[in-house]
Amino acid sequence: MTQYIARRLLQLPLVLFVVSLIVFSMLRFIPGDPARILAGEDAKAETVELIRIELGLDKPLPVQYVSFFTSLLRGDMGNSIRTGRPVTSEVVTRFPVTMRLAVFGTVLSILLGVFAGVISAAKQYSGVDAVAMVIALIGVSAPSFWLGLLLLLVFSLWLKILPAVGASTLLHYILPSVTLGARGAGIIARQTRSAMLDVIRQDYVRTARAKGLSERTVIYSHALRNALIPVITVIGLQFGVLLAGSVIVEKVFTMPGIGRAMVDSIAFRDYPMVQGTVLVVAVSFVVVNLVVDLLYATVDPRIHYS
Amino acid sequence: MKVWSVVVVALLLVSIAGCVSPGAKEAEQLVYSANVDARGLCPQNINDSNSAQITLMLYDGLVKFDEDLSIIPWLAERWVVSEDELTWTFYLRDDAKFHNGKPVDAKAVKASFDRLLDTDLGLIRSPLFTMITEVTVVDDYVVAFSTDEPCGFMVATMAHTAAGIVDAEHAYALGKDAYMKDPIGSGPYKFSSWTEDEELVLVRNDDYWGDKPKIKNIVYRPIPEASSRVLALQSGETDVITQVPETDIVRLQEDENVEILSIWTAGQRGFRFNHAREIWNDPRVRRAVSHAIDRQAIAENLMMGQGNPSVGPLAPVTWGSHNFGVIEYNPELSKQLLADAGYPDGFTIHIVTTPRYAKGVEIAEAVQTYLRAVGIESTLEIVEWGIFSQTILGGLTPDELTCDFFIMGFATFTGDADWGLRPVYTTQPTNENNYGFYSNAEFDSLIFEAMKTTDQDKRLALYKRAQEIVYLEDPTAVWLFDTKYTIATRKGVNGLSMLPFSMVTFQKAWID
Repeated sequence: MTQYIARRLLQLPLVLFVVSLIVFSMLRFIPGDPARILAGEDAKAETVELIRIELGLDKPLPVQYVSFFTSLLRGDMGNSIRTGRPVTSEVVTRFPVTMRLAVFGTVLSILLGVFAGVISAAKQYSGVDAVAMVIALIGVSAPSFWLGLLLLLVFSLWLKILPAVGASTLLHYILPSVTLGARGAGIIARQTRSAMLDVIRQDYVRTARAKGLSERTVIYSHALRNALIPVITVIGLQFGVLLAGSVIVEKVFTMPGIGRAMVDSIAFRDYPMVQGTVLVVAVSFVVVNLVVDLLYATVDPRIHYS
Repeated sequence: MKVWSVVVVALLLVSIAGCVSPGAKEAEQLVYSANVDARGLCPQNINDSNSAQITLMLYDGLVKFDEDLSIIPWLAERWVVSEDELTWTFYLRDDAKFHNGKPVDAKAVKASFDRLLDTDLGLIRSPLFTMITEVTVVDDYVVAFSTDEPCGFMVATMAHTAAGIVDAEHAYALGKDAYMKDPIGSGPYKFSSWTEDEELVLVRNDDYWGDKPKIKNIVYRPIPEASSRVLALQSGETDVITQVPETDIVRLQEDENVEILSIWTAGQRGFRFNHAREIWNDPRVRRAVSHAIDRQAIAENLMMGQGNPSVGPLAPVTWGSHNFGVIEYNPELSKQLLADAGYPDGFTIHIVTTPRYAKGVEIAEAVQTYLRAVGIESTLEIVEWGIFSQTILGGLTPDELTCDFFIMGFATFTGDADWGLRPVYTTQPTNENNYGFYSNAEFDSLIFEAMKTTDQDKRLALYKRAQEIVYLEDPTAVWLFDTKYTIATRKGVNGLSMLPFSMVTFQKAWID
């Protein structure tokens, strides 16, 4: 098992290299000159040129990439073109916000989704089942932008019980997490329900019932555990989606996270910031996938990595 | 299963642990939310109005614009120009101090301007001041500026935000980039802290030489998403917002906790012709395009009253502007002019627009429809600002600019006709500033003559003739409407100073 983990972790540098190469090239091939954007419309050509030299953008592309990658290996992601601050410190301040959003959103979607899915499966075709599945459908289909603004309207403006802007307290995370988790909750609810329905028909469940175990024990200790395997896949994928999809939520709820930084940096052609933020998201995604794969092994004793 | 729950709980605890306790909204502060964060706090190295308005509170200039764009004494109590019109002498007050206690004397002013003109430093705003050849300390509190030729707009330029006096010693010690975040001026507010994209805080300067501000802290908290910004204002989480979407203005007017304030700006919106294209050689063709568009309809219906049809190539608040009347909406005249110029069947052009200008796409589409009605077909290209500034504004040569007609915002940040006409319409080899490659010899000579005289009446007459050329006879653009600057505030917020450069400052503000 440790060999397996080690092997998976070794993939990280490869991922870093490939992602960095792709982001680096894409950024430089799209039109838009960061020096000119920084200098502004009224600036003279000499000023723009001076800024370009200061930013190191006058050097040939391979030289720029090599210096970027070697600094990266030392842990230095360069300085933001827009603010002049080190990208690493900007990322370190922002990443926790996005991380919290992704974690809370995932937890919410798991709790709501699994619970709704189990109830629906247990009371298949009942009123509860129908209502739960319709709500799940809404959760999956509703655009996060719309849902976020709706929640803001109801809870911040009309009821005035939750704040609208910022990320300073736990209260600030409630609405954005719900917005983020809604789609995941819907997906997980439907997944759980269908997985549970499959599992409930299995022989071993019938055996458990025949043994005289309570329905609750049958469902939670026996059926759910097996039904969860496909659900864990969904959770893993959803986490990655949440990490990136936080862009919209961060914009709507004005939270200083990495998603927003990524998008704003693109508009400014802030190459180091875009590279840094995309890399951090890519690495997180790889790590989360590894954790999810390891979770399989704990949940399903049949799965064994070597 | 157990391991899994432990992992989840651990993650949750770690995440929650990071959440900080809130900052309560004190009574002694004002929160302002724009759609973007400031870019920097060095007045010579920024070009966005958002940062510029903050520097207005941190720094003082020799003179200052009042709200109606009249120039009033500030650090300088009075000034004179020499007989030969080549030397401007400013007499400074003797009680102004930088936030670190150093006096703002003639030496400090000279140091500040020497830094501005330092070509090795490459400050973005230095092109505004190239007419200054030398700065001399005449006495402790008397400083003189020399120019090669008489310069009619010298004092107006001194009122520009980029002329704010900085502590040059401190600025040089920190370097260009670090100084953007650690400013020292002599203004009514001092810099306190700045967390990027979250909060920029200014605190009152209790040793200010002028009227002390009433509000202790000013917090700049950007909210990029327009709906969230409006919501935050209505819920009370912010006190003043800008960039209010036109559709929300109507709704906010009905909210009794909110007040809407508007002023006309020194800015306009329109489209420029790319004069490098043969199709525009005949002025009649350009005039045809101008007459084909209904500016009133655009201002009323598209801009919902947030624009006024333009009456000249300079907004009315700009000194030197002239009212020539709105170009008449007359499609029949357009068709006639086109036929006279040899295009009875019309032609096809390529238009470029960007949504960075409010309703930029909708306005372009409206223009397309108007042009089609007189026989001019068009293709429309919509690009984001980064691409627009590279492919349209990037200092291109005539063969590199690939469109015929493009959207433009016109603004005069010195409040003086010179800056609104000279960089953008005089003949230049690349389109660094004259984006459409306009070239008219008579116009050029008028502008340069007006630049070199300090007789303001003479300048007015010269600028009037110049505008006649560029607006009516040999048009370089279709000016659609003058823009309004609108902000929304909580009821009880008073004393805001709004400037027609889309800026608002709070040195005279108070909250009931």
